Amino acid sequence: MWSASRGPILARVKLSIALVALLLLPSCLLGRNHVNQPLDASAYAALEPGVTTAAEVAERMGAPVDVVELGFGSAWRYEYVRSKRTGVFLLLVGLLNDDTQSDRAWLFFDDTGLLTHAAATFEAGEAAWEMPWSEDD
Amino acid sequence: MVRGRLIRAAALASVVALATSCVQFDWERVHVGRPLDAGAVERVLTERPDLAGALAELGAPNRVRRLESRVDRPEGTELLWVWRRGRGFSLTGSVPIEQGGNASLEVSNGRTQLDGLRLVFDLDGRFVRGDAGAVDTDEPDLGLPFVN
Repeated sequence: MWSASRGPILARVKLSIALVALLLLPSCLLGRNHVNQPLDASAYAALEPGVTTAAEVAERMGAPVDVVELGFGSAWRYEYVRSKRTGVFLLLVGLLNDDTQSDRAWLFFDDTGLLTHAAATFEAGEAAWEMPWSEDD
Repeated sequence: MVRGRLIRAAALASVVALATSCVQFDWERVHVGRPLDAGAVERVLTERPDLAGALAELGAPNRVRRLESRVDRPEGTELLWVWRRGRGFSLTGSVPIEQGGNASLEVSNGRTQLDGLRLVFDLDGRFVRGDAGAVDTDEPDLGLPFVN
């Protein structure tokens, strides 16, 4: 007797869960975007200021994305950008988060094409799928 | 029985009306880049290292620019580290009007901050000046993803 009366309730619960799932499933967004190729950390680590030339840098790391002419020579920029976008849309409410981080390297050359200074920051891997209320860094 | 059907029909109509987004609340956060370590920024501004020292302390800047010589300053190199923090919400409402079309209203409250550190070095790589704080969104060469 008890199980016979429980049947329709269970069916309604299942139907409700299915409806809620149908409403929620199309409303989630996880996106990822890349700009340029990831930097080769080992190629960067092999560079030696005072020893490596611009030609050798181009051979090992490829073409830079930007070249800036400076008074004493030039500076080359290598950059890889990664973005992660999260979105949830629940009928009335939309929650969106966008986190963009980059790996970048700046290489400074003198007027003879010799590497004088180099600096790199690798943060692209820290881009995260988060929500708007996530803690700020 | 009839009352129950009316309630169900009203509930269904409400869901349909909401699903067509006649009212929408959006909450958004945008992060671009990581802020520099405050202690490292303080050290650089206090100790005024040369170009090599600043790069070793802070890592790669976002932008490097040549500063042409002017009457009030010699030629030099400017390095800029920048990061963007944005957070805000918007509430949008829209209703059909008798004359045709829709009337809509949007209330939004958001804040986008572009902060950074700017260091200037002379042609020999010696520290000339530095300042930390807000960066203009119309900063030359900044571009995406910092400005959109």
